[in-house]
Amino acid sequence: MSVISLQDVTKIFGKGEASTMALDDVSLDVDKGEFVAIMGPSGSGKSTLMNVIGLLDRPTAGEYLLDGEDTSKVKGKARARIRREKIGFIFQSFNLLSRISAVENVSLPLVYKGASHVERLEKAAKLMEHVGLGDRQYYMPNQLSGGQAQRVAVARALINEPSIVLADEPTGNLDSVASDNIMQLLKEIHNEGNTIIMITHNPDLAKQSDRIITMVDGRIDSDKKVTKKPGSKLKAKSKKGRTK
Amino acid sequence: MLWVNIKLALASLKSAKLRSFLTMVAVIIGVAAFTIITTTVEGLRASFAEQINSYGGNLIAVNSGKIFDRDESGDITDINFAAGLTPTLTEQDFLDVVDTEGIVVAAPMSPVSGIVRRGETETGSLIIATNQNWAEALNQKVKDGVFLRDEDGDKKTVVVGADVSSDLFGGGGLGSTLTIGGQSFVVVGVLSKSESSGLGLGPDLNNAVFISLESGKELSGGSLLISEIDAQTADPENIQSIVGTIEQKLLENHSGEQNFAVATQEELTKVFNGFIDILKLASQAISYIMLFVGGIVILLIMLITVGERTREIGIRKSIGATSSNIMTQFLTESVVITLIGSLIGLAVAYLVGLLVAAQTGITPVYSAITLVLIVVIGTIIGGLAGLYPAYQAAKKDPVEALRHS
Ligand SMILES: Nc1ncnc2c1ncn2[C@@H]1O[C@H](COP(=O)(O)OP(=O)(O)OP(=O)(O)O)[C@@H](O)[C@H]1O
Ligand SMILES: [Mg+2]
Repeated sequence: MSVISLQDVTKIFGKGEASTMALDDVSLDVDKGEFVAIMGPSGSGKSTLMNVIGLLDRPTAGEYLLDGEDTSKVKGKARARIRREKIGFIFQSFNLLSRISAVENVSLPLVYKGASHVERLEKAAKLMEHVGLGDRQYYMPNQLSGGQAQRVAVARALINEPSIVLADEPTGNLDSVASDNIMQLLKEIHNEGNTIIMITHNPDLAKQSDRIITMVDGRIDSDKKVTKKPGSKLKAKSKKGRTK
Repeated sequence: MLWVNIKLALASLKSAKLRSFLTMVAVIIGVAAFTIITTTVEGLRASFAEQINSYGGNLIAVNSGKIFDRDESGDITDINFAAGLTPTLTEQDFLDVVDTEGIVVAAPMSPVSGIVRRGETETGSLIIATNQNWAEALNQKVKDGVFLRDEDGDKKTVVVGADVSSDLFGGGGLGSTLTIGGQSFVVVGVLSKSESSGLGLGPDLNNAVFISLESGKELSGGSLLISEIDAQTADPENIQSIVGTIEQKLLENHSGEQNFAVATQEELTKVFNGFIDILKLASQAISYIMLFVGGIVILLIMLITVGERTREIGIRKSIGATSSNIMTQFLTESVVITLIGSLIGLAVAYLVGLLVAAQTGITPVYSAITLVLIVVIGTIIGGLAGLYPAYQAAKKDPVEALRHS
């Protein structure tokens, strides 16, 4: 069964003359444990798609099933809860809260879960170690390099052990060394069995995923499996059947 | 969760100290005003209680003017101190009080106009014409000499209050002379310091001089009106019926017009407390306006804060905060800032209270209720002011909020 299943999803911003169709009849299925890379020109609707998948935004039309559950029926508190428990977000601009320390940023999702202070700090500290920042826990975000800040953001995304990680150009603001570092982390997360969707403009990074989706003008232009054999070319567009 | 929110609120206060302070200024002033007013008025109440208790528990006071009314059950209503400004009592009234069964001692008080001088030194002292029983009737102590004697009637003698004694004679003064309305008087008595500092009802007895009724009549050209008659009863059990008898007699004297009021010490305390309550409410109203302004300022600044922190709200929602989590966060911040403002206001009030005490002699009284009330008011203002901004924060769309720079 697909974890994520979109059927004819449309997203329109604004009204009348000024309206933009950010998603135009998008249908997509992602299986559990897949690592999907989304590519495409600026303004093609990649972030919009990711926001819909992450329950940050609602589609204008169409159906979105998350773990088989019709998300159009999930409202308010329950949506926040799914975001908290099933989904971890990583953004291009890190999106750390500047007034609290790195480790507090990492533990923030646990606050909303109602975890105790001790539990929060223990877990956050462990994840800080995991992303290689064990010695930077009490640094403030503005005292961290871009690569370090993004690793803090990865740790934050992982703290609730989400099954889906959504990364919107996670390496967009990083140099190649820091990018590789983040990519390494994402692959580790993937190897633990999690589903990952990553938006990127970098073909080299996209090639390290299982599947590359290319968007153009709010539509899925191509959807290809990546063959892992070194040297082999990308496979032809795969037609995925809906599993629901 | 609450603790996390409080820590966050403190962190955001610290990150913008000047703005936080400016946000609080109106609340600080409002709470300080509220506290100063309340504790000073309570101080006034306490000093009056002290004063009236110093008159002894068996006092019956007849006042000029209908300064209050009684309902069917005899309880005091419709307090109106302004009605007591002009003296309406007569010598006949005084004699009738003296004759009333159960009254052991009574003294009239007649204000006389004139200036008290010793050489070049003038005092703004009150001149009160009375009889030799006054000190006993009001339970006041004579430090040196005697209070006026009957036989001194035409000898121009005077008894001075404690402050007059120290102002004119550096304390003491027995046997010295001073002039009242141009006439020479010999000091035959000096009073001990009285609790009646003039803050409550009635005159400041420490800054008064006492002369005989005869002297008073002479100074004021023949006739005297009595402003107040004070009496002590030996029969406290029946004090209310004695009051009733006096009321009846005086009503006849005044042809049925009730332009006077008779009360026991206990009732006077009640009357004054009623007056204090009104005074308190009226003066607190001023500070409520200030607190209202404080609330509005907080509301506006919180709205700006919410606008500036739109991105933060988006981030929080993206990692799983519910709208009510966001609402609580900003409400807490608003309440915390108001409470801190309230505490600063309280500290300011305490310092001002020390000045007030030094200047006026009224010692502010801080009751637990006042302190609790300030915390409650602070919380309510902060809560109400934060409600709308917090709602604005909570309803932000996460995607829009994340796009905010
Ligand atoms: N909140 C919004 N209001 C109006 N238009 C929007 C909004 N969000 C996105 N759009 C529009 O929808 C389209 C898709 O935007 P989206 O952010 O999904 O693109 P993207 O593929 O992520 O681009 P980029 O690579 O630059 O991040 C764009 O034309 C954009 O202007
Ligand atoms: Mg984008």
